[in-house]
Amino acid sequence: MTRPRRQRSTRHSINSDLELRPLMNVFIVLIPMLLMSAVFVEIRVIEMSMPQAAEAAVQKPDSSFDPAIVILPDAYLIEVNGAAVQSVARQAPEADGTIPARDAALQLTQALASIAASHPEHKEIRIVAQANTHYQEIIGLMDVARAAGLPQAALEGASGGGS
Amino acid sequence: MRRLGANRRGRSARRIHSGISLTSLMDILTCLLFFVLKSFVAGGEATVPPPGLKLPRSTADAAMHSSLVIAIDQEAILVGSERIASVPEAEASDQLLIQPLADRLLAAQQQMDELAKLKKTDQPEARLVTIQGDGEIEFRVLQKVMYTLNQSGFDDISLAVLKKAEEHSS
Repeated sequence: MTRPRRQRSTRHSINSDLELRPLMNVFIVLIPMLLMSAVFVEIRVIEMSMPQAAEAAVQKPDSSFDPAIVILPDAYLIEVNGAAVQSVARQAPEADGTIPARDAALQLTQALASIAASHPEHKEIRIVAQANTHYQEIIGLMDVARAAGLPQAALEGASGGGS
Repeated sequence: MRRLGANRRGRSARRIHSGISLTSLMDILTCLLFFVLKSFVAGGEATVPPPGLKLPRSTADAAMHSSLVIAIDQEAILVGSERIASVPEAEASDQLLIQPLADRLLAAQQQMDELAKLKKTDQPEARLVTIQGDGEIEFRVLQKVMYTLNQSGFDDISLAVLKKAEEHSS
């Protein structure tokens, strides 16, 4: 009489699995919530440091080499120490909004790379922009300068003053 | 007869417990959960630009820091989510300094100083600012914002951009 009862109790203990359904429910809620709030677009930054008010008036001692890209209405003018070195035609933006256009960017990169190679210790470049120059174009020129080996860009307004 | 009855009950008990094995699905979900959580951690400072603002695209690769965020779209200059000044007014002004922005930056600076006092640190808080500018804004606005930042003592500026793939054109 007692044997069958013992057999039943052992069968019950064998079949007691982990109850995963509550954990499953938590996961099923948590994963869509995290996926919805996840940021898939990568935001990066270009770091700049402006001169402090006291430093702004003081000229740097090493001002013998001063490359610059001047944005003109129809061209980008590369200058070294105020003297024009090369002019690159300013074209309309690409279909995807890339500006400077790829041809202009390539020419600028080659010209700036040769300038940077002549002074490998110098990492700075001035970008002289017009008042109505779009921000995207300035960022594009910073990218070109960075690719050519001049990563520290300073912005300047065409009428003087800047950062 | 009794034994036969007991066997039938045993079979029916086995049938009830033989459900779908969830262990493999749990493995997948656990991997997915860790992957999503890691993407949060690896992303560093997560900031979302205000709606309607299209950041410029760049090949820059520096990670974003925790800082005061100034957003400039076609209509307004915002500090955090607070609208501070109008872009057309700033464009029309002859002065480089944007006064409402300078006032707000002064208040932010005082808050930072108070926080530094509470933390009891001797080192002054770093004056970091991130500018989230729309790609279509004109340089004259950016110049005025940067001048105002400089005059307000915020010298370290980061320009926020969307990362694009580097082109190998050479």
